[in-house]
Amino acid sequence: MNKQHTVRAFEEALSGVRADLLRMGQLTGKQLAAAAAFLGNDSTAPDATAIDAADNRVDDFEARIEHEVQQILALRQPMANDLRSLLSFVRMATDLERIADHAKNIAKRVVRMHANGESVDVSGTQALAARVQAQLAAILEAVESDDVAAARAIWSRDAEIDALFEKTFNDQLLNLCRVPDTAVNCTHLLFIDKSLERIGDHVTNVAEDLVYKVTGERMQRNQRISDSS
Amino acid sequence: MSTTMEAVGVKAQHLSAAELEQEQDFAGTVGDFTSPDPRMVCRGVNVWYDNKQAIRNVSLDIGRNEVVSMIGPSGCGKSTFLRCLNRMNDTIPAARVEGSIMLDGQEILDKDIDVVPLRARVGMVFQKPNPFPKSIYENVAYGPRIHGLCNSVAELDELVETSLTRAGLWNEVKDRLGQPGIGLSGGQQQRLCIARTIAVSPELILMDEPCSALDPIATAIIENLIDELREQYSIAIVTHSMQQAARVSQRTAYFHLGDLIEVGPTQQIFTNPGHKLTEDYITGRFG
Ligand SMILES: Nc1ncnc2c1ncn2[C@@H]1O[C@H](COP(=O)(O)OP(=O)(O)OP(=O)(O)O)[C@@H](O)[C@H]1O
Ligand SMILES: [Mg+2]
Repeated sequence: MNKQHTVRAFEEALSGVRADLLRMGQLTGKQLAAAAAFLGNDSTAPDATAIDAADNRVDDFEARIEHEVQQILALRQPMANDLRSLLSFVRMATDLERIADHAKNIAKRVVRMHANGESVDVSGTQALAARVQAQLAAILEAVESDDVAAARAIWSRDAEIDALFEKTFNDQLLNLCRVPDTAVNCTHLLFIDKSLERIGDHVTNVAEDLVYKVTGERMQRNQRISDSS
Repeated sequence: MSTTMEAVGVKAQHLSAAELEQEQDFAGTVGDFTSPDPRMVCRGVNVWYDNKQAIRNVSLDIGRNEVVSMIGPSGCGKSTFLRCLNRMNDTIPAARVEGSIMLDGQEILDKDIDVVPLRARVGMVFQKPNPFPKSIYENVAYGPRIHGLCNSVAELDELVETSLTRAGLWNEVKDRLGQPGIGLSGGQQQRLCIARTIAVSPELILMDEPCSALDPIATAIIENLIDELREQYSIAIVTHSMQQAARVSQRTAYFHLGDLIEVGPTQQIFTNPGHKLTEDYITGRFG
């Protein structure tokens, strides 16, 4: 769609960052999906080393993207759309890294829940996880195709995740009070809910960066992010 | 204007298919070409070299205390447009200029205008430093002398010193004012030419790729000088370096095949231009 750069090495450097960001996104998505799947299934409980190894790979991608962008800024003085893209890629990588971090924390809590053995109703958290996963998958697809309309829609849908989080959180809090025997696993669930809600916020950040990358327009920072902490 | 209509007809035969297509697509300059406090106001400027049109219906203001940079691919008409602003195209027999260019409310395309004082009010610095084959002192003193700006030798001495000081050259040449200007380094010669230009108290300074023959240090000195001169003058600069345009100017104008495609605040042009052609050019997607 866009004309190519006359300097081919520049074109390649830019597509390199882009490709790394998309790969990082895929990896992050897988991490979250794995963590969510463990929630309802104790037969596949992962071990902590595997969780950390996967998270380290995401961290490596972030460092690598930052390095690539730094090189391009120093060597090629990018302008306009190129400049906005590079700034956005760095910010997106930061958000993806945060998302992967939350996924890691969720997975570790699930491991402890299974070890603990108290039986709790995880359906609310699973529903929340499914919504958040769908949001993440959608924003990664939008990034791949520079789809601004999709980014705006995804951004708006975060309100629904916040509402679902509030409801799930309150239900489980009530449950915790009613059935003190399962207080430990219920508490784990509350933290997992919170992590999922935060992942939703990072997805909206990526959506904002995508809008900026393509249009140059900065969306109003999401009010809910500061309110909900 | 019948001459314009005729010329448009002639022009069509001279344009390549790509040029014609581009022209049909072009729906007028993107961005605000006016200035809230204009020094020079150009409206509907057209330039032809014989039958070939080099500048098409360009309107642009140059504001007080403002640096406007003009960028665009080679041959797009930047120098041609710049030369309109002090009637330098008069020196090219094939060139014909139409439209309106007002300097502080006075029409400078008026045939009756005396171009000698005009070129003092609108000074020009060229790509290649071109000192007169005279002493450093005489290079600067020549203009004020022919324009009768000084009443005494002492006054002239003082003007030479202040001009060289403002051009950032005084300390390097104060002990050899009698030596030939062409004996200076390229960067020093360019600053000498700038001193010569500002010695006659211009309102507007035109610069056509003033740093293209200079090393990074001399370039930085000139760029810093441009920034300082802006406090007193208006400056229009043609440059092939987008980084230079970004560094020195407040507004940037992008020319393409004789059209002024876009003009806007420099920081906006380089972060979020409005026209695809501007975007392609500044991001290095040529051809
Ligand atoms: N003296 C001249 N006689 C005939 N045509 C000319 C003359 N000067 C320039 N032209 C033509 O007018 C067009 C614009 O030239 P101009 O020198 O203004 O371009 P420019 O943007 O300054 O290019 P560059 O970046 O290479 O200096 C070109 O097609 C050029 O060939
Ligand atoms: Mg030129």
